[in-house]
Amino acid sequence: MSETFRPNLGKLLRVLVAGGIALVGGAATRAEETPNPPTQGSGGEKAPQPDKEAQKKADEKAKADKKKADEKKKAEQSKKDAQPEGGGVKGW
Amino acid sequence: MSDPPSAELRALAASAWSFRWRVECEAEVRFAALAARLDALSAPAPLADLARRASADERRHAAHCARIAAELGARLPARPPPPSPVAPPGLAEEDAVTYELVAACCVAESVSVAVLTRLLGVAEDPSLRAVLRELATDEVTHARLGWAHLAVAAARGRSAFLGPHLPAMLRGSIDDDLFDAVTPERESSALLALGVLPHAEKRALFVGALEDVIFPGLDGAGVDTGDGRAWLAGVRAAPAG
Repeated sequence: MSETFRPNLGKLLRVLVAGGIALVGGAATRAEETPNPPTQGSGGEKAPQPDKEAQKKADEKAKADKKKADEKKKAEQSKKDAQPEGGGVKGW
Repeated sequence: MSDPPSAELRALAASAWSFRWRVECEAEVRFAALAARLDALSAPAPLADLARRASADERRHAAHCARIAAELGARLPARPPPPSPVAPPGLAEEDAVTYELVAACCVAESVSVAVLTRLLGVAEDPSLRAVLRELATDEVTHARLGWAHLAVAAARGRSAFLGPHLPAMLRGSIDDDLFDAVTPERESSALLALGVLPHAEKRALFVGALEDVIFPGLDGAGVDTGDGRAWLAGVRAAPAG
């Protein structure tokens, strides 16, 4: 049965998914075109050259920040794992 | 002319239409709530309007299902309890609404369209055909609501979170025994004349809808379907219970 019916399902992809996107095509595009907020240092100005000591401190700080971020990520993952998962909606 | 369906097949069909009645009642409430939540999020106006219209459609569908179930001998309660939210706790409201719409429309309604299209192809009774046609037409719009909302969420960069949730969402969308072997009566092709798919055909249609419609649609909206596809492969490979 599935072999003979699958071509119709392929058509459904266009009818449902493409049809749905067409309903809000403008809205989706507008959201896509919304520019991201400018990031620091994007103005073209040249950053001051740090000396070696400052560079070392910056490296250490970056390392510490990364460690902290990793720990936070791990904690968030554990919290997520402990949370009840979502469910589904039954149809026909 | 074929023999009239046995009492056992009529009871199976009555149970199926009763279940559909409950699904449609719940959908009426869910879509009304989603319309209000879309308004509160200042979502594009057509989405909330579609959700309101879907709620009204589902009320009409529930009446059709109740009538057919009653004709087959079912006795329905006054009204099922309202559905619980299906989004996992802890999501931002915008993402929770996306989860609900994807579960209700992109998955459940898309599968329903596939089922209705199949039933419409084989139903002979004019009254049943009229109901199936009416429902199929409406469910196409309901499914589109989900895909439309997902396109907006994707454009805002808020669709990828769904990927890891797909197994739970899909598991919750099917009957517990969809991938199990069932009694020969539930595989009877005579059920088609009563507007019900034989069990194996329902399973094949669900798998086909996922592989040909839902997964490609989600992929296109920036949702990694790897976990969902792995879930499907797992349930298909599991020994039938």
